[in-house]
Amino acid sequence: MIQKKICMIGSFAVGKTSLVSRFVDSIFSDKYITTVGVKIDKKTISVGTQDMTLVLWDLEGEDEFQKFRVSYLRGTSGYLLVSDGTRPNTIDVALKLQQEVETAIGAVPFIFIINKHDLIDEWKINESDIDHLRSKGWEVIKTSAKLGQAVEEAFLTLGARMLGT
Amino acid sequence: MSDQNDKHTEKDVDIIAGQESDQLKMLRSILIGPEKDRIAHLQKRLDSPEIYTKELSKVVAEAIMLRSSNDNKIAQVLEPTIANTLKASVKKDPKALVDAISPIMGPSIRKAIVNTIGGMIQSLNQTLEYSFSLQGLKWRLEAIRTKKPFAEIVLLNTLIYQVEQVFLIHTHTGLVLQHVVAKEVETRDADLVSGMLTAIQDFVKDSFSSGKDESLDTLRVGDRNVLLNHGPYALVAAVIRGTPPPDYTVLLDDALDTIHVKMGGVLEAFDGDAAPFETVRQDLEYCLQAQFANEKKKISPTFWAVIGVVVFLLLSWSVFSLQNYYRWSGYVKKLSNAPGIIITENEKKSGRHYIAGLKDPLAPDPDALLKETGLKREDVVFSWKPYHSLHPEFVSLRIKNILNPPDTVTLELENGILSAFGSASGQWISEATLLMRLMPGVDGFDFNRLGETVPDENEQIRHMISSWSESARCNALEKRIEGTIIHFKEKESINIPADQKSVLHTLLFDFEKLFQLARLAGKQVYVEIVGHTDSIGTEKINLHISKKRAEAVREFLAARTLETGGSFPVLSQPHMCKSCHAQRVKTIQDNFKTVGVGAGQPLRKEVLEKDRETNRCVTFNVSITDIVSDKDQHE
Ligand SMILES: Nc1nc2c(ncn2[C@@H]2O[C@H](COP(=O)(O)OP(=O)(O)OP(=O)(O)O)[C@@H](O)[C@H]2O)c(=O)[nH]1
Ligand SMILES: [Mg+2]
Repeated sequence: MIQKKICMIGSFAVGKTSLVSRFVDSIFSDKYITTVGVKIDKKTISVGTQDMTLVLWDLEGEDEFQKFRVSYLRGTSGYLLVSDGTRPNTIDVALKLQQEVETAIGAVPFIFIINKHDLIDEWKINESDIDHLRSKGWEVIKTSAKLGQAVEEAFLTLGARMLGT
Repeated sequence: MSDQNDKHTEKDVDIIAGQESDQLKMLRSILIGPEKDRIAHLQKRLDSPEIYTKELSKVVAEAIMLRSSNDNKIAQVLEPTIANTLKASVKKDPKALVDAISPIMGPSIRKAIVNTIGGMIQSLNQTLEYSFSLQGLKWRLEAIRTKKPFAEIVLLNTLIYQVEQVFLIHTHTGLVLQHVVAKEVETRDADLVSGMLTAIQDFVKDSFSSGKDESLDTLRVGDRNVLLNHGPYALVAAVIRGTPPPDYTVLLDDALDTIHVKMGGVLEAFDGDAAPFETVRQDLEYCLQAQFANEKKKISPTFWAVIGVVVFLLLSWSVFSLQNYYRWSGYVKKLSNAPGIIITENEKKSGRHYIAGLKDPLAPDPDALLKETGLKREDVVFSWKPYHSLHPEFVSLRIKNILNPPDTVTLELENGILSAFGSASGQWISEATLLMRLMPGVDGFDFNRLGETVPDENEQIRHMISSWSESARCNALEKRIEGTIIHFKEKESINIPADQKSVLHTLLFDFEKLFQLARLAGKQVYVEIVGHTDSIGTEKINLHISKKRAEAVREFLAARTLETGGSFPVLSQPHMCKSCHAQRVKTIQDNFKTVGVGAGQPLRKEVLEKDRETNRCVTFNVSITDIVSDKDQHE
């Protein structure tokens, strides 16, 4: 079976850990327990006829004060770039991180995630912001770790991208 | 004329030609006579296979050597022939081949058989040896007490070292290429462990290493050592319980070398498919070594004799005391056995008994006990001083209240050492560990056995990573929070403007993170919420407004964290009853103080209306202190 390492990247408290728990264990908690360092999980998916094991590196959220640990990215085949629709500045952080990642390891497939879609009423970003991201040729997926909405889709899309299909 | 002339000429030529060919022949034989012989000789050599073969045989080896150094053609060309030859040869007479390869196969087959049988005999021996001995009985009890299989207890007690698992990890991606486990060893998911091992190395390399070639060689997780040997494309990690002999790492190096030689190309091109590495399983399995101790300690007869004497003395003493002080000493005994009562003086003076000592408020009533014995109250004079008992029963009670252990945990207090058995979450264990340091009546604690039943490597390793840097992060968060300003645009307004709510929202996450990290670092967090106003208006009113602004902010934060199930202020006092809402509100009030400073500490000098607008705000002061324990306070 093929294994691929993928990373969860994004500002703090955007829901990286929640997306992983939803995807791997189908659970969600309202409680915020910040990730310290990195937490590793895995899940097997099927893309077409190909089975593959995703080894998920859930990295600690990026804060201005903390230098992003580039070495955790080594050997990554793809990543989810996660932001929080209720906090517009997490989109800026995601954009900055995307560039840092690309400088560090080159271009690998990624999906731009805007999380907390269940709070759409409190979202501070609009469709034109999203169109702007799509215009870069990026895949943008709106997810809710809380409701499980589009979470599986996000990981499967990334899986397909990594296989080049 | 011309005809004649012509004829003449022809003839002449003929004659000349005739003359010339004869001369040439002569000349030729003079000039190239020897060469001609040699050519004839060469021709003969070429035509005669015997001679040609003889000649070729002199150079064929050198020729093959030369060609092989240039390309692989010869091997390709010969391959089918050699294969056919081998087949034919084996068909004709297999014995020749067997003879040829048995020196290589023999040892490896022997090794495999010896390993298998050796392992079987070893475990059989141990089980037999310890099943019926006194030692064995003790371990059976231990097994029942700790709810572990007997075999594991035997293993733990006789083990010098055991290599439990060996990983082959792709250095670049941290993915597992191959993983082997010793028999009867329980393991976690190899993929996750491998990932964490890689993450730790990255972390250590980033944080401590100066040179590029430095790498992590050993690692301790709980009572296991992890040895890491690095190769160009892969590393082997051996998880070992106990201490292996120093030359064990040579064994790992050998395995790693072999694997790199065998799989060099595959390793270099690895793209997530670990199937080819099935072939190196055996190399790794060979690294699963173990060694057990076999010494048996006999209990000496003197020991039994001493025990016998002690028991005898105790018996006669108690018979004696029963006879002489049946009632009184029975009572005193009862008293001193009662939890929370310590008798410091016990005298008989002029027919009256004087008893002085310490008494815990929770202890049973001495008067009531006296009545039961039938002794007269007038004969006894009590003098009690109140104190906090360290009686195990009381301590246990207090520990239970404070630690609030989950159902899966059994606590046992013995000689001041608190042991925990069963299983619990890493978080509970770390909280409990912290709290135990502050408990009077507990001199030490042993959560090791608890840790073993919850060997969540992920958790332990993460904890290791985190403890290096919590304080630094706390300080950074502190700075960020102190840089946050909540603006109150409207004059005299004490309602939080709608556009400031998202700032508070983010602030809430900051507090969550700060309180959690502080707890990990063993620190306490206090926050002062400071309200400000502009300089217009009377001081009294400004102080009032500013205080109200600070309170509004605290109200918002508290409501939001209670409503979303946020945990931050609660976690700073982890033993607190988490479900008690009222208590949580109080904790928030304790950790978040509000003050109003009016126009006393303006952010800016007020010149324009814009400056006044800026000064209408709420700011934050954070202080992070070490948790002060009771013990420290007394000392
Ligand atoms: N409503 C809602 N809340 C969410 C969603 N996803 C996450 N959250 C909440 O957001 C908070 C942060 O989630 P985490 O998954 O811990 O965030 P993170 O990105 O892993 O944070 P760090 O580990 O600190 O970097 C938690 O309180 C979650 O309950 C979602 O889809 N909807
Ligand atoms: Mg997280």
